[in-house]
Amino acid sequence: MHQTDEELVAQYVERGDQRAFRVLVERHQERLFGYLMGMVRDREVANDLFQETFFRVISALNNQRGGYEMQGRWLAWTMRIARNAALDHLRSRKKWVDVDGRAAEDDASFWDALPDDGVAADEQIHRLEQSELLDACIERLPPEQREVLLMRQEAELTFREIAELTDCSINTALGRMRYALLNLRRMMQASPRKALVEA
Amino acid sequence: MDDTFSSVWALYPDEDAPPRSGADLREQEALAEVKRALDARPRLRPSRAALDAVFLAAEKPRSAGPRADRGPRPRMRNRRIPLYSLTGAAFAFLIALSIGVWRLAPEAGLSPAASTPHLAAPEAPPAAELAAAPAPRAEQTAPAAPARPQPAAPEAAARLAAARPAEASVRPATAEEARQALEAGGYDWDEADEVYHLHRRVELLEARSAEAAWDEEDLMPAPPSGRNLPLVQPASMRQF
Repeated sequence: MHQTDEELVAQYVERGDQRAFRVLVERHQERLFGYLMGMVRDREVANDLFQETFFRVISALNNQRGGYEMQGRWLAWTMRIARNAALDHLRSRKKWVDVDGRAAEDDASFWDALPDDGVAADEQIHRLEQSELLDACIERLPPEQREVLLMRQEAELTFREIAELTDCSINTALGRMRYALLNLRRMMQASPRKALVEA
Repeated sequence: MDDTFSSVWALYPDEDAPPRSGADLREQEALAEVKRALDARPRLRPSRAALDAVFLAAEKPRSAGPRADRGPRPRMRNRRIPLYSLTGAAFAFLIALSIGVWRLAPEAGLSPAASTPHLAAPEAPPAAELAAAPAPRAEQTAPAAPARPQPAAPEAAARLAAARPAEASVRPATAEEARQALEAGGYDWDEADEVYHLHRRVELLEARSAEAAWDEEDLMPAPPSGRNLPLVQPASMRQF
């Protein structure tokens, strides 16, 4: 039986149902982590931000910090917390530019990113290279476009939710998404590995 | 909705998407190609450790994870001001009290007679002068009235009581009565009649010793600042 996010949240808050909370986390872990990973481009930092996000969520659900009102939009509410955590990190990184975990991230992301669905090795390499190319292109996007793209593509928020989170109109969010896709296409076509994308 | 975004709505439909309208098919195809590439990317998951930490925090929400913000503390300023004021007032009161006790204590510690020397001998000359003066008829006069009577001595009380023949009718004080008074709780030197009798006694002594008055003209000139003057003999006893 499929339970909605709100039902799971209610079970955890009212009865302390740990199973409900686990279902909730596992249901949305890829959305949240994909967004965080796209924002910070560092697996370790993304893991820390993922924990930080849920620590804040747990505190809020237990009325220790802030609060949560059942409005049927738990993911959007959690995504706002994740966005704040990511922006806090990006602001602090601007102050400490000498801290860069890029090398460690590259080493870890190779094996962790491999899906275990039994596809052929060459296909995996192809997907990985294409993914790396896309990641590099996404990183070069303007911050507003990148954020909307990640929220829609990774977190699967609606454009209305994205507009509310980023404090802009729906049309602005749609425009940023459109330009993000167009810019990605241009960058991928200009890349030396364009053939991989078109294959 | 603007038709500019129709290709985006076509690729990412949601509940707010408008009915399909005339979209730019070329742009839609170009964007669809990018979306396919994005969809083909592997979904990333957080590490097992991060998930375990989150689940542990959910089990113990009040002990795991970052500590919740502390609530505002009540302002202590309003409470401190009266506390300091009370402390200061109590301290000032203690100081004033100790100063008062310190100043009153010597007087309280003195004997009753010592506290009223002017009553005991209001017009008597200084005791030292009287005692040291070689009065020519000292044997005829009664002993000089003490400037500071000693109430603790029973003999002195008895002598004083015995030296009151003239006032016996006023107050029959005998040595026996004085002794009894001492034994009963001490002599009450502050009584007005006692002072009165003593004063009368001093006047009587002065009247009896009028002829032994000092010859003021023959006195040696006193130094201007000398208070401890050498004793001067009466003129009748000088041997020039």
